[in-house]
Amino acid sequence: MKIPILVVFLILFMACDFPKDPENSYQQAESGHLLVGITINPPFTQKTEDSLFGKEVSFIKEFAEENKLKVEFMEGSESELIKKIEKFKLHLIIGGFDKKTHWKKKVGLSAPYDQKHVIIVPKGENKLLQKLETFIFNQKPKR
Amino acid sequence: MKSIHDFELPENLKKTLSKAIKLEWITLFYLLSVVILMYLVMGSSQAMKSAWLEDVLSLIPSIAFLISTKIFRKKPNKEFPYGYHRVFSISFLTGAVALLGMGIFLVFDSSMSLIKAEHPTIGNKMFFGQQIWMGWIMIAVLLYSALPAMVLGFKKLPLAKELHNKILFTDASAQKADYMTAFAAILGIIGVGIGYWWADAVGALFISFSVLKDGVNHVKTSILDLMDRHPKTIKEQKDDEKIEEIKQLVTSWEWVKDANVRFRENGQVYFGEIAYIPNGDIDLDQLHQGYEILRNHHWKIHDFTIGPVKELPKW
Repeated sequence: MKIPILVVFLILFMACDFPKDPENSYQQAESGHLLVGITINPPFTQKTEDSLFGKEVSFIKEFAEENKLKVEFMEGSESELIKKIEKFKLHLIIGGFDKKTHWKKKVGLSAPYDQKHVIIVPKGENKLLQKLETFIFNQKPKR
Repeated sequence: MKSIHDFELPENLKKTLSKAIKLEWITLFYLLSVVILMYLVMGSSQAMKSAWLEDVLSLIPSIAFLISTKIFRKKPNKEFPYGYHRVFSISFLTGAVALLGMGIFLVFDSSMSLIKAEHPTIGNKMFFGQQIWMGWIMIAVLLYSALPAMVLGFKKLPLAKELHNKILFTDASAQKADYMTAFAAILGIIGVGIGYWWADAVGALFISFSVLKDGVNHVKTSILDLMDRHPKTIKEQKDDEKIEEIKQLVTSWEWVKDANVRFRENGQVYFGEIAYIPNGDIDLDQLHQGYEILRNHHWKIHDFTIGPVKELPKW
């Protein structure tokens, strides 16, 4: 039993594309747009007539830029957006979510970018999560 | 009555028992460390959760064993004229029910997450300035939960057989369930890593069934033992030959015309009755000698009465 496990380990260590997304969210974001749900919650996310801004909006823009992704924001209510991300129709949701958010059971959460606030990711999309967290961890020293 | 005497294991088995006790203490502390570590890295992996619950559960048999060994040796007294041997039967039932309960829970829980198509999210953490996927950490912890358990389990099996101690045997099979669960969870996490979200739940389900099966078997055995069935060997569950040996021995005595015996398991030892039709007058010295011979026959033949009868009972 142990030898096959070791072999699997080795193969996986060699494969740099690990972990993968079961629903290919990150791949979709690369080939199309990074679909980001946004619910307005100042100061994290704010809105004037035709532009979105705020701490988390610029955070997402930086993340997208670093990974050469095009972002598409979609505004909606929390419950609408959660429903969409549960069906893997969104890639991320922002809006100043607390790491103890009551949506915790339905979605995945990133590591907090400031000790407390997180970005919502689809459940089990571990590659997308890894990319996002890599970005979050690299941000930390600056803040 | 002559038949009630203090219980002492034979010298060589005393050593076996203290070895078993030592192993159980090691198991207890080791499992506690596993439970804590695993809880810290669990995340939302189903197989990881199953493995964790499995480890919490496997604490029960070892705790039950350690408590029982403190009690079973006590001398019989007015309040407990048969002594305290049955404490092992009780702890065996406790351990078995725990195993069964967990099996049922695990089957239910992992089937639900499969039906609901829950995708396990496994994030990343910084360790000493290095970003590491939590999946790797989980696998490392699972290996820690598997390899020592495997060694402990294999070490306990022969001791359990020697001592005819079923709770120790249950505990050894709990360790087997431990390392099996851990290996399945490892495969599950690797599966999730390569993009099969269901690998995790399937791994958990597969393991749950093996835990469930062990649980059912142990509960069945412990209930049958408490129902005073004919003593069985621990592993193969065959009739213990010692009972037939006793019968042969008794009928071979010249002051016995015919005899019938019955024994039941009382923890590690057997209690029972021997009925015989006397050949001529009853001689108490011969009877006394008979007790001595049987008692020295095997340590498990512990507490019994030899009674003269007119007609043999149909045991």
